[in-house]
Amino acid sequence: MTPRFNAILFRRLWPAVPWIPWLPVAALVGVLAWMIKDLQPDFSSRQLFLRSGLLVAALGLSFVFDDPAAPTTDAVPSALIRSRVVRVVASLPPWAVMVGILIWAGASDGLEPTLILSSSTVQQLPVGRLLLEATTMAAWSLAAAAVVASRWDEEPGRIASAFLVGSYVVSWLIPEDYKPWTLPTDNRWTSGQPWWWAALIVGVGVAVVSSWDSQRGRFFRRSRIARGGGSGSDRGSSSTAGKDSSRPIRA
Amino acid sequence: MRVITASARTLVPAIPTRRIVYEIGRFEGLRAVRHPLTWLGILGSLWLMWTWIGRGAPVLERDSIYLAGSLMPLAAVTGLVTFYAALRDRSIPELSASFPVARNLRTMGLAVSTVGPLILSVGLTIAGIIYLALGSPIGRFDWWELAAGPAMIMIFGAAGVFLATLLPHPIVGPMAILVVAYLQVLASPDTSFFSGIPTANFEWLAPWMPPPTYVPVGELATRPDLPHLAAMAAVIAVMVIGSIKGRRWLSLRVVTIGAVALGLFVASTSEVEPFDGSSFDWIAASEDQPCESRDGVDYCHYQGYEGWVDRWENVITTVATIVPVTVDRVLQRPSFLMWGDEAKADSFGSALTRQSWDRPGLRPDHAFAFALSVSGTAFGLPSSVQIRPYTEAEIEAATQNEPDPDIIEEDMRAAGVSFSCSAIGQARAAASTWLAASALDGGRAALARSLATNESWTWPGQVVYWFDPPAFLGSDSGALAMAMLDLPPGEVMAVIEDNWDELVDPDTTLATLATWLRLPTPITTVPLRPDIPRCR
Repeated sequence: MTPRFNAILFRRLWPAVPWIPWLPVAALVGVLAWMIKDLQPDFSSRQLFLRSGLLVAALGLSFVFDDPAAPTTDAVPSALIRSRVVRVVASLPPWAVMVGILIWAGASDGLEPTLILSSSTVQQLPVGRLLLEATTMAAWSLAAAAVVASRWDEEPGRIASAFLVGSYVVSWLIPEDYKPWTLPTDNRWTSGQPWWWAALIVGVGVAVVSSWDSQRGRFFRRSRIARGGGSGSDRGSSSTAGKDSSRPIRA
Repeated sequence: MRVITASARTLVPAIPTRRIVYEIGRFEGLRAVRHPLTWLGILGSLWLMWTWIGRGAPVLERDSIYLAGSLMPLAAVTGLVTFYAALRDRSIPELSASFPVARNLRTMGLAVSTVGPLILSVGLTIAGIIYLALGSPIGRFDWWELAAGPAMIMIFGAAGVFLATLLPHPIVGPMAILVVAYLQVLASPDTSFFSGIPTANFEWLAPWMPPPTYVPVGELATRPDLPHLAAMAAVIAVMVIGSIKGRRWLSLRVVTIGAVALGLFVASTSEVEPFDGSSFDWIAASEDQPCESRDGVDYCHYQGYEGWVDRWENVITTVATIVPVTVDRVLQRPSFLMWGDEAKADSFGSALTRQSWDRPGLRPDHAFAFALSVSGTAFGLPSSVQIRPYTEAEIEAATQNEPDPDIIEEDMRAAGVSFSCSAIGQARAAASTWLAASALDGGRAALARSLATNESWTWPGQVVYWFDPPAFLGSDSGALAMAMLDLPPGEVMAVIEDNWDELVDPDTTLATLATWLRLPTPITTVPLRPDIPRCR
């Protein structure tokens, strides 16, 4: 694969990246940023809105692998992982902008931003930790979308976004001793850090494994060609093979 | 050649509209009930139910509100399920797949399908009612408040269909759930995000109205639950009618939305009693408490808590049976004490209790906290927080940069500041803890739990009391009391009686008590904190 091929691939796939989800995401992130600026300038007051904003930004990534035109784009002669990487790369700038807006709003009115992961006071905005959490949410969003896209659906965004929102809500409801959302003054702030890294690695790993080209890599799946499947949602998608290859694409 | 054409209308048999809507509603309703998201929602609702009403003694006016609120997770997923169902155009019933059904009929069928989750929510509510009724409740069920739970299911279900017809993109559903969650947080009567006072009347927009912290249970009966239900019904009607497309329905949509807008305008201009409150409401409610005298002890409670006097009396009687106590008044208070509260004025005779108690048969956490404040009086410890004058330095710090420093200074000098004294390291701290734990069924479990969840030097801190404790006893005292519970009660009582004068002396240490009981000397891990005044 030459750089020229990659450039062509990017140019061809760029228009297929869903951009509509970023409109409501941008609107909600904007509202949240406005609300964050009106809150008390301490991390404990703003953390709920900040973290929810990061979730909203990650929701935008849930739709990266949505491809209603899958039968058309399937014809592109490239590895699945490559096309997925192109889609992710094309979607990262709006996600980064959303995260940046939220952190800018969170650091307004005297809250001192610090890049270290473990800030010691609530008067500092632990940007490093927030970025870790944002990246983890994004990774899980991509992982959910990749898993769903490879197994069930050519439009995995709806399931991935529901999964993300559901797991976020559940994470706030679990007992205090196990809740991942902590404050710098909590004992578990530092001890919970390895768990965030682990969650990030798991998310990235699942996304990569699920995006591996089954026809070449065959991580966990049999190739759809080997199983006699027809044209489907995504190359390497085995679950649709033999089920209903001629099913209509959602209008 | 002659070409014969036929429209679909002539080819298919005429089936009544109601029948089509019913069939679609039945199919989608069953599908919604079986949906994995719905089962997650049920789990979430059960978890909320357990959190809010599971462990506490039922107070029906309050718990009716919480029982309705615990259906929020099920309502949220119902919204998602109907939203996705409206977006879905495959795996639909054969009827609509093969029959040229108008889109509006499918929309109405989807709205009807909300009946499935509605039945589930009614089932959960009935289960909750039975659970509450079996817990020796006080008060009466508020049926209008309970109805708000199933109404939430309907409102979210209708909202899912409405959003799918208005903005047919899968991201809209989850984001709408997040937006509603924010609205719910903002609409809480205790929320004050944008001002220093609770968000007045904003709760009208919330699907569920939580009970305000600052409003005593007796006043919950005045909540405008019926107007809230009517508002929810209006919103459901607007969403269902707003989901229907086509010119034929335009006039109905305009009339309905206009009527609801007019109703909201009239409601917003009318004098509606706000049901949010402030902490100052507690002063009036506390001053109006009725008191009941039993065996020389006055039991003062908020309106609606008459049924708990027996429980408080039972604890005092049980503790006093082992060692006599000197409590002459029991006051019910929220989780904090206001300035000038009379409860602060008598630290050696008034025991405080909260608006929560333990459900019969479960670990007696609240009873243990109450017993601990009562048992301390047997050994000369205070039964509630004490009060001292503010120092000049404290007054100066508090009045700096204040617009009216004189008024604040006057209030501070009049009210004084409350504090908890320290009995850390004193023998009587362990003795009073043993007395409280041994007097209750399940007292040992309550002591173990409180020690496990609050290992700081302040034990028993707010984890046990939910407000400032009468005295800090220190976790070493708790550990020694646990060891004393392993000894025969008669043996412990004999030691207490033989060494009574020394035991109540503040200078007698935990080590001395351990020696008397032939127990290992506790290893002091708790700092004595000289900045906290010692209990004398």
